[in-house]
Amino acid sequence: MECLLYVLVSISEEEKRAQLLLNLSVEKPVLEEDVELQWRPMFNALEFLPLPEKAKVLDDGRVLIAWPLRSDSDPARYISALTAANVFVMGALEAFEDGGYCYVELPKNGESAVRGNRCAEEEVFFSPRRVAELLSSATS
Amino acid sequence: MSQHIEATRRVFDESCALNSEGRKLYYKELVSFVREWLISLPEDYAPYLKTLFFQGLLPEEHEKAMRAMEPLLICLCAPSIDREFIVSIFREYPIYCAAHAVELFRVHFDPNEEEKWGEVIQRYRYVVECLADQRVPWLEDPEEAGRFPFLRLYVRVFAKLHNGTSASQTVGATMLDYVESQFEKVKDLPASQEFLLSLRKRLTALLAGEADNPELVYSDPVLLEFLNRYSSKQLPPSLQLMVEEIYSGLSHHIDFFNGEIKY
Repeated sequence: MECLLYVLVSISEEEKRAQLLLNLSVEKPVLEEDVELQWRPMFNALEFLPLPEKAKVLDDGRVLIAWPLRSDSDPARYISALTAANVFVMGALEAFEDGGYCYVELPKNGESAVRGNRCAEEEVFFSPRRVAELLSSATS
Repeated sequence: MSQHIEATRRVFDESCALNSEGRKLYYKELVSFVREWLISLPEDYAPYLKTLFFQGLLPEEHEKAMRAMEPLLICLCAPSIDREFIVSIFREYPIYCAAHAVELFRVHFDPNEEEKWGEVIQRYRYVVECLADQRVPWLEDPEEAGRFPFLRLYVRVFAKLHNGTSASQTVGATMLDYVESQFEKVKDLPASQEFLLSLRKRLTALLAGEADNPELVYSDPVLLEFLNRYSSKQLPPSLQLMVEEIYSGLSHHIDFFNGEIKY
């Protein structure tokens, strides 16, 4: 069963958003020395993170990122990398190809993100727009 | 290194300049290639690849860092490679590692039409060429006995010729001797049968003078040398017999005489 980790982030600063998208793309920098000093913390935080299947810019500076998860993948790795890159994570959920989704509980007080038990039957795997709605309303 | 990994097995000589400017450029090309093509790597391969490339180190446990692609990546990361190095690395790993490396190359890069990753593909091609070596025991692993990827590369040489293009760009053209030296061992394997049928079909068309672009094909050194080996009975017996049967069944065929083909 395929699983996508959807993460909704918010970045109001356009240049920082562009850097995030770059660091999540196949064109991402390879060596730290090729990165401007101010963006090196982001590069280091995301350097070894697997590339997402999609990173889509929504309105209001939000970006919805979708990573295909393997059975041994831990969503916390992705959330903590984004947090270390100083990117504000609004919400995250795991969507399953055969239907249903479960929210990922975001870290509190320095702990790691964890798979939560807030789940629903609705099919959202192929509906990034619906995922964005769910993650936005969960945080509002 | 921004992520701690355990890597203690030295695979390259420490005295080599692993951080030179030229190597950094090559590393970028390699990372781009790996991201696009080696998608079966474990999720956490990237720090291992960097440690391998710039420090020459891997975990003690073979295949832990990069699964079946590990020996290929050692060869692609090494400061320099030669046949001895390539053979010695692949001999440390199960035979399916070599089979995977050859198959990926055969399917996507033979002949190479990609302009991207020039240095990586050039080195990769050399690795495949060097795997055509009896010391890499393709035929000795009982579980993999049905696999013989080099026979596929061999057939592609004649498929290219049949289709009217030069065979010299195919990697198979560099390993004809090897395949022919192993031919009698592999001809009866179940997995070989479809390739032998395909080989017969291509050779029949070529010997019947039906190649596209005949001017080019019937002066191609690879084909001339093949026919020379046939004329002097230097092909392996089964292949010699196959060509004889094809010739005798054709009412119209090309003639090979004095090192030239009349078609």
